[in-house]
Amino acid sequence: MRRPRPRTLGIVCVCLVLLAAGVVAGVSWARGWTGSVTVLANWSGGEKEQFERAMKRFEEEYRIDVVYQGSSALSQVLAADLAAGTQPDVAVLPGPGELTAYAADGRLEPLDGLFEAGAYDRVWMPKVAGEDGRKRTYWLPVKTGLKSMVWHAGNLSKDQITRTAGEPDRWCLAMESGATSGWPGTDWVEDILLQQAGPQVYEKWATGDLDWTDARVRKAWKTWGDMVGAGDRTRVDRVLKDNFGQDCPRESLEHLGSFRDTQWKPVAGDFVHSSEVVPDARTASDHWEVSGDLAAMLNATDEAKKLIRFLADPDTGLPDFTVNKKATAPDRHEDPLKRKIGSILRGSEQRLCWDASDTMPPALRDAFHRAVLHFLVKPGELEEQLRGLEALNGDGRPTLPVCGTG
Amino acid sequence: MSTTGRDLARRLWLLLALGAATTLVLFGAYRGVHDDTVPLASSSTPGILAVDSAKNALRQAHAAVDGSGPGGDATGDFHTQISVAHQSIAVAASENVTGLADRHTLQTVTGLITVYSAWVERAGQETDASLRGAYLYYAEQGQSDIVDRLDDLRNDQLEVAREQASFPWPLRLGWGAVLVLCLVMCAALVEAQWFARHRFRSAVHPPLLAATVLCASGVAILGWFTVRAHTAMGDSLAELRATRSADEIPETGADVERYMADAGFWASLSEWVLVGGVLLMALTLVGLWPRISEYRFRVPR
Repeated sequence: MRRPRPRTLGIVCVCLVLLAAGVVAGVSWARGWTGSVTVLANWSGGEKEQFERAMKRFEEEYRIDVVYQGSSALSQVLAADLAAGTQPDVAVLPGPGELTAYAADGRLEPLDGLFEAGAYDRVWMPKVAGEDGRKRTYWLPVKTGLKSMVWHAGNLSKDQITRTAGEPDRWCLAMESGATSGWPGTDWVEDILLQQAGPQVYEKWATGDLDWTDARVRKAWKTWGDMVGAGDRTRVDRVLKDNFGQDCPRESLEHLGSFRDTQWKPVAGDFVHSSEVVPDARTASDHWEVSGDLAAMLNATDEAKKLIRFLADPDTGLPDFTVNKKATAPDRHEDPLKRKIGSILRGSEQRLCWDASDTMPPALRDAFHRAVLHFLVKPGELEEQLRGLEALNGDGRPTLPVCGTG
Repeated sequence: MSTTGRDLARRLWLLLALGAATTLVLFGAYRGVHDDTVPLASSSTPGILAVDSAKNALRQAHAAVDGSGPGGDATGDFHTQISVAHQSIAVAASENVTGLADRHTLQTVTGLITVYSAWVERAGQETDASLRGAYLYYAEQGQSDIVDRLDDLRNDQLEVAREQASFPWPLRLGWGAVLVLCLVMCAALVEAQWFARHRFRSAVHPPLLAATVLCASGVAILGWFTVRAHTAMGDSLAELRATRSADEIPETGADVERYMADAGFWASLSEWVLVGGVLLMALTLVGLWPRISEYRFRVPR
């Protein structure tokens, strides 16, 4: 056999080098991003980790880089971004109030046709008016939460829970939450009004058709003040600075939403409907306050559309709780607490009301947060606070259904 | 029959191939180092120092509030420092060191500073000690959140600067290849010079000598610039590693500027590598082609 000539060997070597370079370039191209999508949300801790896991799957599947920023000052950050024209592609906001206003201003891109809207009950995803007055779908519920819950260690009878609820010191209460400090207090006032006055009054108040100085609203504030010991300086000084995510003593009660299941689970905790402890609650009051993290699209890029479709996919593992009717039914959940919460969220559309402050305009909502802080310290100045809130309760704001109507 | 013509032609093609290879490998290796010098000096360094400035300004703003009485900061220092923080964040955003994530973080930080300022102002207007204490506490929590985010951003920016100043194995390989090719090229030129002198009994061939000098000196000079650039980038990175206080920031900026003063000049030489390569091959051609031509037209007696 003849030995190959040096020139042939040279050509073969050059070809091999070119081939190797091509393979390296090809692999590097295939592994690179095909685009990016910016996401603004307010998750932290376990919820953030769960969301980031889902986003990692999205990145791997679509080769799209997800640039995530989370902050409790979501509203302020988004408002500044919109004013500067540098809004994120997708924003996940807690509650529909702000989104309704942004949709009316033409700041949001419609989501119609991106996913099957029928997979969600109307209360979670109503069609709202855009800039041209046409009603469209502008958000997708990514994660929902149940409120109107009173957590306890699980070993208390109904009588013991009612008795404990009458002692202000036994309530685990904390107001600190960064930019939104005070929201745990607004949840209390809203829920007491819902349980005492019913969903019609609650809806009128949330949409601005009922004055803040109305006797029923005032009564809700005073009820809360009596229950948690507003004005008790020593206690209130601590409550104002405690973070809402703090650990609660085993023998206490806590009025916070379903996200607290991880806190109460280690002590075999359980919850009762808040109407069981709220003084003067209507008999057979069975309405639940709910919250939702809603994804809206601010830039209609292909990457953002793909992300919305991914978030609407029932098989995408998102933070609890999903209200996508095509997702695995909550009664198949292994955790009994999650099963119970999921079943209420997915099976009680006509008994669910949005967290009222989440449906209010940002300025009123923020003033409400501050008013509860003020009320805790100086309950005697309630009337002044209510008048101040009423002054912000302007007419002509876009409204949406607050309570489920089936 | 004489083989001189064929030998000369073979030498010419070898020298041209070596010249082309040396030029291209030198061009790649030189750019591999110097393409990062200008971004390190003009983008990463000001971006990192702007983040340091923002952090310092926020700390000083909070110190002004902390040290004030119940009526809040009366000196105006709080608002001055908040303005400094906003300006520094605008500078950091314009430098765009880490790209999209960088800008997204800075937009969020801008919003958080607004919230922080609002809590501080509310505390200043509040007459009740409990509420004032609570508002200041919320402001403090917000400030530490902002500083944490700026710390994370600074780490990402520093990682970019570290990559810019690094000398990874492909570059080492490239410069190794440059040295080998340069030595082979010079040896081949000397050998061609010797061969031509021996066969034609002539004195030195100036074009071949010029090509040899050009190749050796060009690689030596560019190599020296590369060593200087690498050292300057290493020194700059050492300055940027630690977070600087407000007083040290201008000095650090000036130090980096001094180290990297010639970065633009070094980087601009990369195009001249190609010009030098063409000149090298032209000199080789001018040195050998007339002799080859003599053989092409020489009729055997």
